[in-house]
Amino acid sequence: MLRTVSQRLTLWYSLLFAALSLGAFLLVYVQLAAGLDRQTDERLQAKAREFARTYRTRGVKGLRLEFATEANGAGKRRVFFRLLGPDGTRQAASDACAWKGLAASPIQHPACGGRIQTLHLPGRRFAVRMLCSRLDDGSLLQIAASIKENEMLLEAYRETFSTVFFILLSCVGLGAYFISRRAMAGVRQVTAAAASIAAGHLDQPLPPGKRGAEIENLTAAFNTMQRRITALIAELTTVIDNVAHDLRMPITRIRGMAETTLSGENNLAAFRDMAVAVIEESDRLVAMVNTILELAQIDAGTLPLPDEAVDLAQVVREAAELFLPAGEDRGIDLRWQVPTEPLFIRGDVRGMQRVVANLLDNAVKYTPAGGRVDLQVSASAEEVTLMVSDSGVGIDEDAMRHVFDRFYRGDASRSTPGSGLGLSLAHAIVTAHHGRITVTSQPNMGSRFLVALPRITPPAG
Amino acid sequence: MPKIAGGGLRPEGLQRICRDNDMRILIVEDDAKTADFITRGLKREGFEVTRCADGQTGLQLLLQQSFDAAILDIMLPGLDGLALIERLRGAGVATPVLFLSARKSVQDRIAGLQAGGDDYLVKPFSFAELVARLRALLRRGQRPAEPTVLQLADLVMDVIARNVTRAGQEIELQQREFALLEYLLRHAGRVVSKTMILEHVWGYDFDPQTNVVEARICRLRDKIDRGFDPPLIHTVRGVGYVARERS
Repeated sequence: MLRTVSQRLTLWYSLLFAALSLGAFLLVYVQLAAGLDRQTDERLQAKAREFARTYRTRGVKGLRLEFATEANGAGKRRVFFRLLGPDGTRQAASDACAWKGLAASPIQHPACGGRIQTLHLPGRRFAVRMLCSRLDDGSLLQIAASIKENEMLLEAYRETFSTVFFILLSCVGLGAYFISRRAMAGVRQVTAAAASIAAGHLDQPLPPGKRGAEIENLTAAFNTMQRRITALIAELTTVIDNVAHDLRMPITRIRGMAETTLSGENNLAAFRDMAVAVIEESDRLVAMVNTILELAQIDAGTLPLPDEAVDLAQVVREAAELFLPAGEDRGIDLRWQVPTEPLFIRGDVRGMQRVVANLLDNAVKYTPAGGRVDLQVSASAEEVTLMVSDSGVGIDEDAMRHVFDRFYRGDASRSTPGSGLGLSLAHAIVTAHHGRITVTSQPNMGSRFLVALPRITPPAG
Repeated sequence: MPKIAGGGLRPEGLQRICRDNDMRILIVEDDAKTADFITRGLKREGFEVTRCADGQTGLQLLLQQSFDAAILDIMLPGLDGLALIERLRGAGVATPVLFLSARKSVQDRIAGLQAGGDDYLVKPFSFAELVARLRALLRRGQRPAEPTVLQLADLVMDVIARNVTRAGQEIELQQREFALLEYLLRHAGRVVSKTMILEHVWGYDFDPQTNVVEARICRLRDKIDRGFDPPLIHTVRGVGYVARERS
């Protein structure tokens, strides 16, 4: 029912207004009623003192006379006086014809010395206020007065209040509705703009305006999100272009080799060469596709990393040992400095093998014969650090910013085989392991990659 | 053919197992070209091959006839590979099953094995690896123990004592070179692919681009074959490596 924020705000405003004004009304009403009662009571008490004095000085007769005079003066309907003896018999009273209820009811208040009460008598529309006072000789003096004026005043007050209350409540409700509608106008505009963006106008940001800081913040956040989405789409497009390009290259080679072999002489050796080349190119393609998928899974966070204790020192030693002969063949001096103690990190051993192998592959690839590649593992209490440095071609400043980007390959590496994904994957894996990977480099002096991963204490046993 | 010393097996016995002359294999694969090359390759290896292209037929064949092993694609029209094996195992048929799948994730592998598969190979695969895994499935339960002394021509490897001799001369091998040679000798006469070597000797499930295996094989060949005749470690271009007497 109350679906919109405007409707809910209107309801809450109205309820709040009603509660507060009712509270204020009640406070005033109670005080006013009490004040009026107090006035009446003071009059009743003054009268009681006067009658008591008359009774003392002039006795029952004098009092009777005074009762009649007073009742005639004030009006027989408006006041009533009565004196009851200690035994409850009526000694004196003013005209009781308008006070039937009071006269008929045996109002005995033996203990009500000075007490004042409000009574509702039969046959009277308005209540009366009555004082009972015990005189010195034990007689009971009763004085009753109509409080019609007070009651009417209070009734008028109630009526006025309720009229005003409902008028004000309607105004407040309407006002609240319009104000909240206005406040939400910005939200509606943003919604409309978002819907238009969803309909395909992805490149149009929401125009800024003067709709209040909250709405402007919403607009800004929305625009930031939209820019990010646009950038991601652009990135995705670039990645797809790159994938297509990088897949096209080996396919071109495969196709070309097959075609030239077929149209060449029927030579078994040539066919064998082609088959070998086809397998090699296919393996390269598969490796690339697997890497792209792995990257996508890591990016999407859907690749659950095994959560095991991995001895990074051992992984590095094994990788170095694996690469040693290949390095030697290329005339590269591969050395490693790895502590003999195990250095544990938490994560996936295959992922770590991948990181180290990719860094080594990168170092070996870009280091000319006669150069050297150094691996160094060190550890602090919190971190295990792997440093891979080479004396290779290095990375220039411009390329450094993109070195972990998908498919990025520096100009220097265009001619070297590779997918341009190795370092991206290393970066993704290290990040997924809550680690950091950084690079420093000087062109023609070499590069240095640093991987730091949170260290854990070795598992028991 | 390699001669195996120790382990109580005579070469003739080994040969019979290795030749697989009377082994019947069922291939359930809906991609005709893939099924073609697997069939051709396995026939050349000496297997008797039956093939079909959908899960329902595959299940019926497996229930009605006796096969020594089955190669199942996971994504099949009609009854898929996982459902097929569940029904097969439900019917009490224990034929070893090798799954083929285009999906590489660990969960897929686990799903395949939990359903009752015995092994799992991701497409694309090297044919050498398919054959090696198939043979491992067929051997299961047949060979009591792996031999501890491996011999090929005049090359002798004692896996327990960890020494290698060729023509009586001791050859010094590093730990990984030893593991590599052991792997080649255990598959003597059969080609092992680069990825198989990386997986079994180094525990790498990927190929680290740089020609690491090639360089390592070169080193091993220097130690095993240099100055001896005949050469025992051969490169099968594009496919892998093989330890055997003839080139």
